[in-house]
Amino acid sequence: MSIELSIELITILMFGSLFILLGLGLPVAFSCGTIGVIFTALLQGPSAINIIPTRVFGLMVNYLLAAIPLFIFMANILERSGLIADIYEMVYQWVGHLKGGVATATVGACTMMAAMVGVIGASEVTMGLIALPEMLKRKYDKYLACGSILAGGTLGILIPPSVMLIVYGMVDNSSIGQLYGGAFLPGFLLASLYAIYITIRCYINPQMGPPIPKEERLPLSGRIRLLLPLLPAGILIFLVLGTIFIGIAAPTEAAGVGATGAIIIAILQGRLKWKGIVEAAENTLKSSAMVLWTMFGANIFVALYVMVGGGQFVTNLLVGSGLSRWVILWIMQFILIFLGCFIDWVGIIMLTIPIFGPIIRQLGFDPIWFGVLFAVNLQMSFLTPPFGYALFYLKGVAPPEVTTTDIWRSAAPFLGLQFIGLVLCMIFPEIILIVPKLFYRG
Amino acid sequence: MKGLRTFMMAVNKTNIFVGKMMVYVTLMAVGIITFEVVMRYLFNMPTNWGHESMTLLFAIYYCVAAGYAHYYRAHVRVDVFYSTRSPRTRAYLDIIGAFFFFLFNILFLYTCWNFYWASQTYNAGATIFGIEILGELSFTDWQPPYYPVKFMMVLGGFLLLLQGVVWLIRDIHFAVTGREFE
Repeated sequence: MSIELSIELITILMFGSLFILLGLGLPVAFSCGTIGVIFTALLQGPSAINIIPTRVFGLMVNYLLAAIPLFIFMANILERSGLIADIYEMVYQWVGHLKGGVATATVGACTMMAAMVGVIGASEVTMGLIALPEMLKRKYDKYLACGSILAGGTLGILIPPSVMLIVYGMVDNSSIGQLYGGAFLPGFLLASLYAIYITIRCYINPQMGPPIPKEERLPLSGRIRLLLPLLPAGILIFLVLGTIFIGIAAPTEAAGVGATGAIIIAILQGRLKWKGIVEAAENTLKSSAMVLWTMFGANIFVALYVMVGGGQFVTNLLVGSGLSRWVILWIMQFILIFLGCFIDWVGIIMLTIPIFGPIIRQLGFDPIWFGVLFAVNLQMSFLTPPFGYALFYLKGVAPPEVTTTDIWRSAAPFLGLQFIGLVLCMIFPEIILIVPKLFYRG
Repeated sequence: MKGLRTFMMAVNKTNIFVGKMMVYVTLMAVGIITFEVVMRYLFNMPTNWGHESMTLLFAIYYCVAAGYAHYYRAHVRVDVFYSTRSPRTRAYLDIIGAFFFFLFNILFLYTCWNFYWASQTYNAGATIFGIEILGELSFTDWQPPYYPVKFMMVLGGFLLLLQGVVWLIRDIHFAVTGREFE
């Protein structure tokens, strides 16, 4: 007992009703799940819905996905360990004498943190709490101040270890090690673009970011002493990234060891109590449940859509249109930018990659290259209103005089920089591909 | 009203309690994977249960956390139309959304029950002290039974359902009276 519909009609009905439910404010997980269940019953018969627990169970017991709560937990521990503040203090003393130096220091500290954490929350929140008041006190331009935190913190989910690339690799069946290798240079490219932009703006108009006065700057010996906190940071980066890159540990193992390392370092430094661990674990539970249930729901939706021929339909529509493969690639990028304004990154990966992945291969593009381009593109999704995680996090910790509109406005120039970064990665694929080629031969 | 309030408090407390339990599950999983890595790479003595037990712990963790996350309204929404409405309009929207939420939740619960029950009653030929026992086993070397984890899907779906009912009551109360349910 099932009904026959043309794939065009199915596409319109499924996505149309999904957007209505999302618009009602029903969580993404349940919106996708509901539409997925209803259409499974309609198109494949009521008993077909018994396939759903099998799909969910497959995700639940996926070994790679266990890296998600582990990385989130590690970031939550680091957020409470004061390590981020140490790194910030160090970079601040080293580059603070430059014009716009505090904002540059913020980007620098976020970049270093990004090599330890795979999510954006830890850096956004900590920098919002320490760097933002500091910059406002020093009469920095508030748009520049907020923008540097928004853009810098977002690097956390691009520079390896990245939770986004784990989900991507799992959905696309591509090597997470290679994706990590590919994301390295684009991450540093974006960080450099931010730093250069801040410095140029502040040299043109020194009012925007005055340097810290000479008398507040530590002598060289003091600055060298500040390098000390880099030691635990270095150990953690080795534990997590080193083990993945040398190829001795899977991301899940690296995440677990990284979490243990973060706890031990924080406890040895006397900065973490039992209460902090409990708080970190509870926050991890909320974030992980959200990520995983969005995956469950979106998987129910998209697996059905692909099964009834939706993937083939979109492929024929795009590939059969006679457009050049670069135009098709750009169409995909704009679809991603558009979705990034409204849906979170998990939903976007789950809904688009099962459809885009095969198209990319059919067009002869490198899947690893596309995966990293995807991650660079989704950097923008964190900064695009109305729905951008970075905006929420910063608003949550910013002083009351910084309004939501201020934060939205401050994101604009950095969105432009991210777009430039995306274009550069497309024109010069080597930015992405050189590291995987060096490290992963054959 | 008093019974309703007791019910709602009980549901909230249950989900918060489940969340607290998951703190220990997190630490256990972190401990297991670290132990496994140390045994494997430092002592060259990998276990046959480390990876799988950690994965299964996290499987339980995701399932039962659904209600906990819903209690905090942590399940991510699309904030285009919804977040700019007044609280009362949002309550009405949530009531409409609840219809679809329950549709999904109840079907999820029903199919998960079938899924669990098939696993529980499956004859994998396992024996304890020579007595045959039922229940599906994992195909790995370690062979843990799967059905307890599958039961957690039923439990998780049920906790989510209860929390959904609590939110629906609160939303209806707010939509009708314009006040929070005390």
